[in-house]
Amino acid sequence: MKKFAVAIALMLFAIVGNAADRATTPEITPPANGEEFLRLSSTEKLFWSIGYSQGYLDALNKIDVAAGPNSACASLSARTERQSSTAGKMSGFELVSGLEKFYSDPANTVIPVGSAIRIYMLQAAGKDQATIQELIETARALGAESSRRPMASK
Amino acid sequence: MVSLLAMAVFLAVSTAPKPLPHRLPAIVPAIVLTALHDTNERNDFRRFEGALAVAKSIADVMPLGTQRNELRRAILIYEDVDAVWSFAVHDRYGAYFNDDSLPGMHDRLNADYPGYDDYIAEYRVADRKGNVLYPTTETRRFLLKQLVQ
Repeated sequence: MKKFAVAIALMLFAIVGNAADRATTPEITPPANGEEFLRLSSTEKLFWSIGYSQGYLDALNKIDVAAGPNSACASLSARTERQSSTAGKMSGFELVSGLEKFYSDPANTVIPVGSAIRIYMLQAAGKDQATIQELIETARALGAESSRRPMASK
Repeated sequence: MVSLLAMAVFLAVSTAPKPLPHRLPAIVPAIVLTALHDTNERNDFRRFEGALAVAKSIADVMPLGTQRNELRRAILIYEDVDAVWSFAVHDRYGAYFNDDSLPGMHDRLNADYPGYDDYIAEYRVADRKGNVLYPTTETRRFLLKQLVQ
């Protein structure tokens, strides 16, 4: 009987602990574009942006493991992709603010988040306005096209 | 001859500039408020600023009364929305604010809008130095809810 009571008590502790874990860990659906990004709360945006930066850097650091140290993928990663990584270049607060600013133009909401981050980083680095506008126009066209296309997973 | 004179008097009266305030058709403030509401819904800051400027100029020429008071009250709330939104759009770290970035804003909102502190407590965050920061998006959302009440 004592063992049974202890087992029930342990099970209850486990359930309560599991529920507490779930309550403190926000479940965030990664936003695909501005429309989805703007639907998140500020806390979710902040958590997501920190996770995005960290995940992007982790993936870059593993490219040479997956593709080989001297492969074309590894050198491409080193040359170009590292430039578009936000990790170490801007804080989560700045990334959220930058994206909110970028998506404050309703025409930009169709642009995928990855493209928006790259464009914002170029803007912040002082790239000329003509190039930025050209990139935005292209990203809008591509974003509108992808939103018209049905998703493969659906 | 009489009809010509009547016509001339009518034209003179109808085209002469009227002293302020003008009596506006009731639909005009409603149109302006709809524009302010819709620009917020669409998250269109540029058009919101335009709509707010128009609303202020209309309120200035309206005669005193309930209609003007209602418009003025809405404008006061939208001015707070504008202050927060403008900061969000123009500042590098505009997603969040505190007393350093928007001096006195949190205290003023707390004093002017009962329930703001309780509402925003759920969304506030602290940076690595322990500074408490309040999100501009949720603050805007709270202010817009005040218009409905």
